[in-house]
Amino acid sequence: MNWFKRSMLLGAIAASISFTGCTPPNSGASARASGSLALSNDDSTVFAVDTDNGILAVINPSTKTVLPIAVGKSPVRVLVAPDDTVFVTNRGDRSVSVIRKGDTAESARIAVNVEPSGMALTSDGKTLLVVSATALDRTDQGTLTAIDTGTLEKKWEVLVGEEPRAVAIIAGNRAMVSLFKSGELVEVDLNKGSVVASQTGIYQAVNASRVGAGSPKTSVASSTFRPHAMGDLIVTAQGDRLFAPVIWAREDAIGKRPTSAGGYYAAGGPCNIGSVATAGIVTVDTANTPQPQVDDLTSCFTGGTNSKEKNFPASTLASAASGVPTIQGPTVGVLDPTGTWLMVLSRESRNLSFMPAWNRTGTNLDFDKTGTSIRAIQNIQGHGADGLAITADGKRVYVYSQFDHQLEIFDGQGQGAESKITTRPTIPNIAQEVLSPDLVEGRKLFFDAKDIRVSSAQTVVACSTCHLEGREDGHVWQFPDGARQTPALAGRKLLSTAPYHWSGEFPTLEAFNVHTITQRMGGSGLDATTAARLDKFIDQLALPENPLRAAMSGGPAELRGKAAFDKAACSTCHTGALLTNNTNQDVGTLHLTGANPDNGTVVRGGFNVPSLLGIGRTAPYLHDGSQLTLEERVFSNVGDKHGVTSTLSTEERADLVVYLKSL
Amino acid sequence: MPMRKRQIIGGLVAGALLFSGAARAQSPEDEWGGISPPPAAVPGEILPPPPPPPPPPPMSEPAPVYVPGATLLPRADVMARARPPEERNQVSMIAAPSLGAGKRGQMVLLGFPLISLRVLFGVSDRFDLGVGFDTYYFLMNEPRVVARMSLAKGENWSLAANLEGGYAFFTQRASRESRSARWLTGHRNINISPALAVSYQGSKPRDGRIFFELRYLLALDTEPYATDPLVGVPPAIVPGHNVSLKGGAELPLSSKTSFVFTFGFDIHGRAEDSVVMPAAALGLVTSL
Repeated sequence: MNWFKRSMLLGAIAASISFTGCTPPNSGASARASGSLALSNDDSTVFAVDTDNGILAVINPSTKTVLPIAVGKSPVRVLVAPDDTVFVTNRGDRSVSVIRKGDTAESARIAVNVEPSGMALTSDGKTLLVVSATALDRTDQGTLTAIDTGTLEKKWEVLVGEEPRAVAIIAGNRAMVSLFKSGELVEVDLNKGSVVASQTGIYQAVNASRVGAGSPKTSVASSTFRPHAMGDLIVTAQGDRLFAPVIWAREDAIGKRPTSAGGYYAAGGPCNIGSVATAGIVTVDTANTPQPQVDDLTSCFTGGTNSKEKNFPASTLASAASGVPTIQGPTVGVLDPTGTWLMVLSRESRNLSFMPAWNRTGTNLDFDKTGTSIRAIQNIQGHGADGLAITADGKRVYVYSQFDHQLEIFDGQGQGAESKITTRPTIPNIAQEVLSPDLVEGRKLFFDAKDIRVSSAQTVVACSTCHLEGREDGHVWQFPDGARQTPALAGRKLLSTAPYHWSGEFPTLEAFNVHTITQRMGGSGLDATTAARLDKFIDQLALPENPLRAAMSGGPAELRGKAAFDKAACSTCHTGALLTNNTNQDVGTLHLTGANPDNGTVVRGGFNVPSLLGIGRTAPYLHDGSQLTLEERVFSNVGDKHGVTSTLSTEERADLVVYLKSL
Repeated sequence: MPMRKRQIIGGLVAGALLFSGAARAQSPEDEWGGISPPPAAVPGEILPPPPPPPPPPPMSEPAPVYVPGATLLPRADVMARARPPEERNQVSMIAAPSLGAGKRGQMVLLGFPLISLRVLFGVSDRFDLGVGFDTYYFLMNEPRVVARMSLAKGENWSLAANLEGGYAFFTQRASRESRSARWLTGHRNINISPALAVSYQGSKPRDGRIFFELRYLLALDTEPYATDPLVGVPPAIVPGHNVSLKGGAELPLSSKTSFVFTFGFDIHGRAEDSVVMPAAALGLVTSL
């Protein structure tokens, strides 16, 4: 065979191969709404759930009329089915409200588990998936419940891990569930109703140079980061890729001195981008085995590192580029109808960021030059934004702000270089204000990362960045005075638990505020009146719901557990209604040596006794998070320094654990 | 017909067409007549003695008489035996001259950004029809239909119109591609490309054929995407307009085979494509 014949044959073979195997799957429509907002299928109606008021607001955006429909207590998420049936998760009363198309009142209410939040519908619309934060009989595991949308009966239910929050259906009749505190994803087989995998390896992937396979690289940054606050999942129409907004929390030592850039929380985000708690996005390809597509945050990835080869958004939403506003507190996101643009709504920084879902270099976007894959940012006015929806034509976005009860509207105009985003008149007063003015302002401050009184422009963190929803994030920070876990605030009556901090070094809230806000967050500081409003808001935060609390109340299990509690002398310190005597105690948990030893006040007097209220949902335990479960805490108390547990039998210890979980 | 089935059939058809032309092709050396080599000796075998040489042919005229100072001319019959008269190379695939009725030509071009294959058949003296295949190194694969009409022709020059159309298969969706096949070539899923070509060839049989081509490319994007946030869902098909200007030459190696090179540039009309992209290629044209 001569050369020409061979070349022609090769060409024909190559052509045949390429024709048969080269066309990727088509993109279709993707979920167009998330969080507290949804749209009717024809986009004529906007549905917003207002948590404070317990209503579903049915809004006509043309006439700006609002029809409130009462639903359950503290509704948080809304979903519209293909037949325009509306489902609402009521976080405050373990239920899902059902509102049929055309109805002006709730049609039905489905009982689910504790603090339901995320929902998803299977492609045939016949099964509704609901995520609940905990099961009815335990606090350390949440559930995924499948509900028949025709009969509204429960089909199956499966435990999915600690504090699950969002769910998305992916290719292969599977679902992914996000774990809010640990920032991981759980894979569930919807055919069998069982968990396939309890994690995807996000932590290993973003810290690959430090903890991944192979030997550590020599020129790596010193930090590792843990994802948390994974409250939403955004999935493509094909279910082959999903995105999860997160906050990256720094794990290694944080600088010992306040920086000139505004508080020592300012420095130390991934590759010095952002603060010690930095907004981010996790991409996971789910066609087969879910694979995280994330940057290695431990080896600085900015500045010309093969951005063309990376077909996913940069894993940090904060930007090194000048002039780009910093992002904090990502809550929800959507993909545009073409599946091209990913939009992430950030509550604490009050903005909406747009980024390509499949690349980070293109028209007006060059990651290698700017260090960001965010193409545009749109500021929003409302506080507490947690609802986002885009119309089917891909030209209008709605944002719902819980704290201001208002709907903001943004329209895209023009094409190419002429394209821009314009702000339409806000629809205010979607729901009534039910909080006092003090609490309104206190809440806004707690969730605001852009108020320079609280946080500097370089730091951009809010109280809620670590105290997620006023609770905690399960993260252990390597502070200058030692390892300190974020303490829970909700339900622990801040105003009644002086002194403050794990070390108890601040006798008053005023002293605590001055230190935390000015020294750590870089804020200019609050006047006494404003600080009091913030404190008042924190003080009235409700204790997270605990299914065991009511179930055990007055029963034999509680009596046995209380007896063990007293027998082990736990009640010596954990006493009173708040289960703390507000003193410092050395319970043998001090670390006086090691990489980041405890120092300061605690060395003399031990740690400030924390309230035990709600500890069933605040794992891990102790100031340094060294004990992952309450079982571990009770059964490994060497030397009886932290309670006289050696006096308890095995059964009594088990009773004590159950009792603690019910507090 | 499902997309995958169409792809398979398209690939097989293109492969069959290309292969059918190639199968009949002969080695370029065959053109010079068959001087068969002697049979190879088998080890251990005693070859028979070679036959005696044939007697020289009788002289048709008496041997010329040498005259000092006179110009020596070879005899006409010697000239005829030594070299056949050179036939002018008129096999053009990329320039203007048509192939002629019943004739066939093939071309392979290796270049940037495209590798191209073409097979043309002379339907009439002025009209050629054929198929082709363009690829951006297999990241974009485009089978094409090619037509060429000779519009005017002089002794040394030609003017022709060319029309090509094809469907391109890309390995990546448009929304996921960054500065790759689409950005470089301006091509999209459906490409329709008329051109005008003018060429000039000297009078000698091995004179090269230089040409210039002005081409317009209508690239229809069947997978458009939102290039900017909130610009909306694009229509199902978005046209794009491109122009290219190329020059080059077909340099005959024989009456049927030419070496070809082209150089030029493409001007892309889409904002998301490169503005100008140089294009160059080297290859062979043959009618074998």
